[in-house]
Amino acid sequence: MSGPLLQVRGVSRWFGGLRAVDEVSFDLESHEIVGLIGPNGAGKTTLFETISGVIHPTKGAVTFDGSDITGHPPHRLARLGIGRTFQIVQPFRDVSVLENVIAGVLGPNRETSDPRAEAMAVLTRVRLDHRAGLLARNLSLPEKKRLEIARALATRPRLLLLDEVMAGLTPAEIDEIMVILADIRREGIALLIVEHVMRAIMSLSDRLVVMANGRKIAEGLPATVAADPAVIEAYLGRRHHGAA
Amino acid sequence: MKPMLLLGAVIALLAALAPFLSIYGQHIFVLVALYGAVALAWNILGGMAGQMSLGHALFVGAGAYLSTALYLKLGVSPWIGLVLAACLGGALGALMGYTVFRRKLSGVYFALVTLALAEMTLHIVSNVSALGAANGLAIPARPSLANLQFTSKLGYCYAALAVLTVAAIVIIVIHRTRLGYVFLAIRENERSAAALGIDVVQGKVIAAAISGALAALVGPIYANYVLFIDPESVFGITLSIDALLFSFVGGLGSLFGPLLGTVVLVPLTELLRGMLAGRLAGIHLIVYGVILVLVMRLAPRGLWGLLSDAIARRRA
Repeated sequence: MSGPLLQVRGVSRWFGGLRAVDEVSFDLESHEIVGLIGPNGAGKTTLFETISGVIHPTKGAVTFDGSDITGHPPHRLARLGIGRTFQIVQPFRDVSVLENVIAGVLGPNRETSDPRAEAMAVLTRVRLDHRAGLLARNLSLPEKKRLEIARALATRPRLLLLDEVMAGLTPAEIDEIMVILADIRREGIALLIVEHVMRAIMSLSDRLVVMANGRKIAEGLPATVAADPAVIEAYLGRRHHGAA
Repeated sequence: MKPMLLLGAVIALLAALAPFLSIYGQHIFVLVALYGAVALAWNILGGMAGQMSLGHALFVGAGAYLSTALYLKLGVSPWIGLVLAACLGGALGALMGYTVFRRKLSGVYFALVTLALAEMTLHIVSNVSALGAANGLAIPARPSLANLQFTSKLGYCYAALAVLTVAAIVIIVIHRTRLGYVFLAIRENERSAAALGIDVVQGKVIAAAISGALAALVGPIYANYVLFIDPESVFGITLSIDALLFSFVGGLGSLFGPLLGTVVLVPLTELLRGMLAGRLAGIHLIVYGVILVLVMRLAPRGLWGLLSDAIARRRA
């Protein structure tokens, strides 16, 4: 085996004087689920968009499967095997659910014998096959979130970046997504998850990376991280026993 | 295979119908086929890939002038001119697309750039004496297949129908391959398209190139039909607007809606002119405008949308 699937090395992103992301490093092994958490404004989204090629890092490097991908545009990352979802769902609204996923199958421009069948199989995996013929705009929010996952899966990623796929969902809908994500991991796809739903991220993740004020303040097993005084301070403030 | 068969049947039907039309009917036939081809070409970029052009006359004009000038000055066969016209149109489309889309300009900016390019070309050609300047170029009538000139209007019916068929085949092929999904994804959401591995800039450039090549193919046929071209008639804004208008009225983004729009609007224009123009100057244009407003108001997804809704209701 070679090194980790994804390596983030000293990545920084400054917006003028603001250090949105400051010297963050972590690894992600293939088959691993890593959760990226932190209070609002911690820099999670900026880091996420840096890894997904939307934002260029001011400093630092990102490697995927041993090769440098720093600053590569999103479409090239997708072809290398990095899929992503958007926090605000971005479906192709005026075409069918199936066509959305076929676009995912064909997007990376690799050999496929039957894109339609392949797309249908992906829809079955996220339990949306019964909605295949519907216009994407007519789906409910939880269904749109699942379509977002299906479309990314259709590109056959080895790493899937998920940006708050559970935001705005009910507990029952979150459970559904969690089952789907567990299935995806079983197929050998690594996941990097940005999420605010603690219950979900604690039980799904193998490891957590915690950010606050642009810096990484903790990393490790969910239980260890949850007990870390620095993490508790970042979320609740220094004298949390006295806070109103 | 179904769309190809259907297309084949429709083309065969039209080809069989053409000889039985009156001379005037055949004239309308040629106009509908040529405008239809321009509208279909426009729709590849404007409808399928979602990048509105206001300057498609640039391609038609470039094609018409290239083949005509080569024929008049160098004696190059218009058949070769036709092939070169498509190449030039494709190159212009790609160049235009690359310069604009690489800078992430789209929407109204792209529309304005296309409009400006077409208008600039019009004025440049109007001042080049080798191209006949504002007077245009007249093509001497020497009917023969080698010269792409025909003794009867029927020949032009088939030539125009052939160009239309080429455009239709290209559209069906695009629709059934990866490129169709590339265009769809770009039209619907560029961020998502990129996340799925689609090179958005490249996709738009390809759309512009194909669209330009097909539109340019119309130029030489039109020039040889009328035997005269001038800057205003082939580079003018009217032609650009017509391409867009037929597509809007017919149904943007649907594969053959623009053709439907042409089939309805071109004869309508001719009819209104024949009936009304003699009574009050310009009245036919006013009536035409009112009809356009009504169609857009009552069928925002175009005539094609209206038709497919009606069919869906019938089935339900």
